[in-house]
Amino acid sequence: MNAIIIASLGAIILMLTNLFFRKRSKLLSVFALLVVILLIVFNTLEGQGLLFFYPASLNSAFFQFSNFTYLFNNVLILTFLIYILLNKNYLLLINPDHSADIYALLFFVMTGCFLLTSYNNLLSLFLGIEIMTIPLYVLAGMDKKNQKSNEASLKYFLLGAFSTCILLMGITLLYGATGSFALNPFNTLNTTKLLGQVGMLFIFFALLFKVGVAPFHFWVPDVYDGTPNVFTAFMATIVKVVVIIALLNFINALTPNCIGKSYKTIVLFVIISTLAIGNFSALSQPNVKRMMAYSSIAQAGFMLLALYALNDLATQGILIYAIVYSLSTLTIFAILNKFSLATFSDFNGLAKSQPLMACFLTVALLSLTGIPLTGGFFAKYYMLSATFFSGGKYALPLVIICLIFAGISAVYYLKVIQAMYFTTPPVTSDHASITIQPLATLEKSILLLVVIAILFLGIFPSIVTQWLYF
Amino acid sequence: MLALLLIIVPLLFALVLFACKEGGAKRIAVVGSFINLVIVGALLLNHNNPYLSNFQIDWISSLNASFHLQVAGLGMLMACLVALAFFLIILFSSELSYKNEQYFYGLLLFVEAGLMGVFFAHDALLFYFFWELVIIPIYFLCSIWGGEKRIQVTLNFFIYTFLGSLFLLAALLYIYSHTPDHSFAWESFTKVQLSVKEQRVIFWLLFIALAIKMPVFPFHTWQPNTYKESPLPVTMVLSGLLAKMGLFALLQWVLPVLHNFATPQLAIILCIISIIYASVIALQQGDLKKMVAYSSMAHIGLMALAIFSMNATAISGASLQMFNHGINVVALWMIIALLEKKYQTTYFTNLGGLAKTEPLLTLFFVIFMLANIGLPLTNSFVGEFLMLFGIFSFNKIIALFAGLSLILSATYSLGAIQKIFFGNLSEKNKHPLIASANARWVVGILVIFTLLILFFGIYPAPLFKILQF
Amino acid sequence: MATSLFWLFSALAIFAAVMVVTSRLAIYSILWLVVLFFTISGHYILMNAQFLAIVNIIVYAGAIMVLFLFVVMLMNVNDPNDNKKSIGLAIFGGLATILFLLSILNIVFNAQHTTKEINDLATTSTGDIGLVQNLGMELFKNYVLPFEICGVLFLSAIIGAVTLGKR
Repeated sequence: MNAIIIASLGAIILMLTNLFFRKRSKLLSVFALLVVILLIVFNTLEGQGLLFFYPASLNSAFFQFSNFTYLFNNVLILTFLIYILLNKNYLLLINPDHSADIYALLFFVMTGCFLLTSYNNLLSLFLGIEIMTIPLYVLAGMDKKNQKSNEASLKYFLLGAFSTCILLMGITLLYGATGSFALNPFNTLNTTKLLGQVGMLFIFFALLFKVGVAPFHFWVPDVYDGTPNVFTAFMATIVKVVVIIALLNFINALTPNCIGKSYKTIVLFVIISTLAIGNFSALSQPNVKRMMAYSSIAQAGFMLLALYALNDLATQGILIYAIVYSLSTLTIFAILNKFSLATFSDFNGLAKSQPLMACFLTVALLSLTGIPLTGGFFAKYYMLSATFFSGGKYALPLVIICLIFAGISAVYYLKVIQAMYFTTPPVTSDHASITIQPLATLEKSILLLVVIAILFLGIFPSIVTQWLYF
Repeated sequence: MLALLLIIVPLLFALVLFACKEGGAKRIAVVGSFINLVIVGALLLNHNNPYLSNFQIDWISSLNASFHLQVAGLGMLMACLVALAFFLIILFSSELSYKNEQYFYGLLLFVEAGLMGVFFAHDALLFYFFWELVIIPIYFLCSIWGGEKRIQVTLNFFIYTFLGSLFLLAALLYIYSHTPDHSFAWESFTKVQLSVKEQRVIFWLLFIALAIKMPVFPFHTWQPNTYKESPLPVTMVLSGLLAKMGLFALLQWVLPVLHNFATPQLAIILCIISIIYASVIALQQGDLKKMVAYSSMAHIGLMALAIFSMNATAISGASLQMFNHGINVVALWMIIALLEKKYQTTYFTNLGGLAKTEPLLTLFFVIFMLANIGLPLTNSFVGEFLMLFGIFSFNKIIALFAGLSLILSATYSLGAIQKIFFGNLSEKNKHPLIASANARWVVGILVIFTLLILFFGIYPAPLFKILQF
Repeated sequence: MATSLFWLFSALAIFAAVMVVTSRLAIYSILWLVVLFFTISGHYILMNAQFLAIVNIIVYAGAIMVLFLFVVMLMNVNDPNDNKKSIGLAIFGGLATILFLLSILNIVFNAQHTTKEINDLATTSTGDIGLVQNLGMELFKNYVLPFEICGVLFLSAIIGAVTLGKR
């Protein structure tokens, strides 16, 4: 609860700072960082039982906080902290007149995220989704002079609104079947009615739509491509991960059989088609940003394995996956910020001109591939292991299919590494050297920490999971 | 403890190399690999001391995975091979000069650390970790210092082996989820009870994973090109040591897990195809490099066949041969490296008659080739004999095919000697561009190999003794 | 009386909805949408939810639709030839719609068997929750938290709109 309230208060205050701060004031990001640190402190304190805002006994009807919620909130906040530290200069540059508003909107998104990690009621689910997505529509179109950004914003808005309609319809049907918005097994356990099942399916699909997995993935590449880099990084990491957690909460709260016997079949279909479409499309993308859009679809497919397994190991796994995926993706996008277009050939010879940058990028890419010694390996490991432990005759084939796609994903991740290390840049074109800006000192040190964290998680993943059982 | 040192020392030296300048890199690498050789020697003497040969700490306790290294027969033998081969390869590499040497040797030592880990790991997750870690430095080594088509070939190699190891992961995870105490320990793995159907599925998963590494017939397509395009020291490592990883895993991690399990016919047939196919192709090769690559594939196929026959004699023969083949093939690649350096080619048509100008090289080459065939008095003879004997008692028809491979091997090996060292000496090769007499220590390395070959051919008992550890 | 009114409003609502989609001119669509909102308000009144009915008319039919009308008129998007669609899209769209309609109808007919069970769960035509007083009590007592969060939602939407709208 603390996190929700502080994030929204922070957003409101940041919005008002427009009155006091000059344009492009560095103070803005300092202030935002302050709020983020407050968020961490207060969220951790609440995890220890210290609540500062406790709206009577209403709390449990709409929100439910568990160890996992606090831990995951902290993960989100830390990711957000890293995000701001890596992108603060670009956040000020993207639309100088509105930099305070941008920060405000980001904090509103965070409010929505915190709602989604803790909701216990369809009403709060809906509000969470809306608070999270509406600012995102705006952020997608923040680069107003850019045609592609406008297009992304409009596309995102229209398709997002459409999926919200489906979500609302699902909620309505579920309400019609049970007579309550509450999301607990007692309420829905005996919902074998078709009405309720269809309602749940609608909600399920709407959330899949928000994650951006196949067959609801069509908006992802265009929107990620058109949106300014800084916001793509935000959408591809924090937002994507949160919606998956929301999905997991939803399914866990319902006992999956409510959706029907075919639940596992549906998830199976979604996972496999997501992996197939994400990976095969990523193979043939002209630039790295678009490749990352498809790769994020593919990675989401792996995260959805938690929805298939639905056990303790899956919960641990999604936590590690969320952290590792977010860190790796943020690293990659922080480096993409330095490029104007980021086609594959732009990376030629980067290892020579920017060895540190190339090294960071390599670790992040290998982590996304799932090579041991990087956190990505354990992220995938936990997911697959959870699938095995959930049993069933589809477990082994599913794991094998997932692994084959993981192998395919190596091809497009390695394409970047190959360009950086083994290809020499064309001698004639000197524009390539101009478009790549070097990393600032702060960015270097943050990225170094992030990379160390990725490697550390690749050796001791239990450092994170043990917090679940305190 | 010593086993841990075997991993840590090359890693440390690798890190030092990454940090240092190009100049002294060679010497540091040689020192590093020599220290490792010394440690292996110490370990050989102290293998009974559990404090020195065993190392275990908790790693991920929630998964029951521990960092557990243990010295056991085959692993120890392979570790001897790795330490020996790396020392000699690194020593030899000074003959060939590479750009950014410090990274080259650093990555090579990285590979050594990974290989040591593979051969000592007593925990499946740890084993998988090292298994995968070996590929990464190899990938960079081949892609940076390889031949013309290196990038495409190496990517091909990487994807192949990466996919293979993912199959390995799937199989290990499956077994792990069926272990009685949900543990990655080797002991728990051997206790696992699987139904025949499950065993078959697991067998094929592991077969694909390991067959890619070895390689065995339908999964071999990465091998000849990679061997050809890689820098030669890496090729030595690939064919001499990395290929043994697959066989080692078969013996250490596959057979103990499967109980009352008869190898599927198809696996045996694939091995036979692999042997015959590789031998026939080797016969027709015009390139010495590719010939040796295919010959290596045929030998590995024979070893895999011996292991799959599940006959104790054949398996001990295969274990022995894993060591000896490693020695022979590394030695052969060294000769190729010398030839290529001097004459810029390894095609038979461009060579010939070199016996006149290179008597010493001819001598070594003939010895190594005879060892490769498995002639009595050379080291491979013992292993091949045991393997054939074991296979014969397993199935006579299969033994026939296995024997055929020896005849074919003799044909192409002698053919290669004939084509390179006898016949007409071309004008160009009379006056090679680099008129270097081979340095004395290069000859020394080759002498060491010759001595090893002859010694273990006459007196293989030490090897058997190590296998009993 | 209530039943016949229910059917009347329902039929009118569906007719209006179809007209919204099929009208060639955008302005007609909007006007039909206004009609649709009125029929839905009628439904609210039948369910004894006068407050909702009035709010629906004031906000949707009044404010939002008038805004829509202005936008459509100002932007002059009334050329019927503008929206040419491919035949394939029409076929697949139609197919998808029909399948969707069938499944929804299936749900509705299945649900009818269990109406009695639902009756005591879902609020039907009787009940006084829709009255201003009760709604207010509910909203500011039990649902005060979501209500406040709604405030945050609207604030974020306003900031977004201003940010996008300002040059």
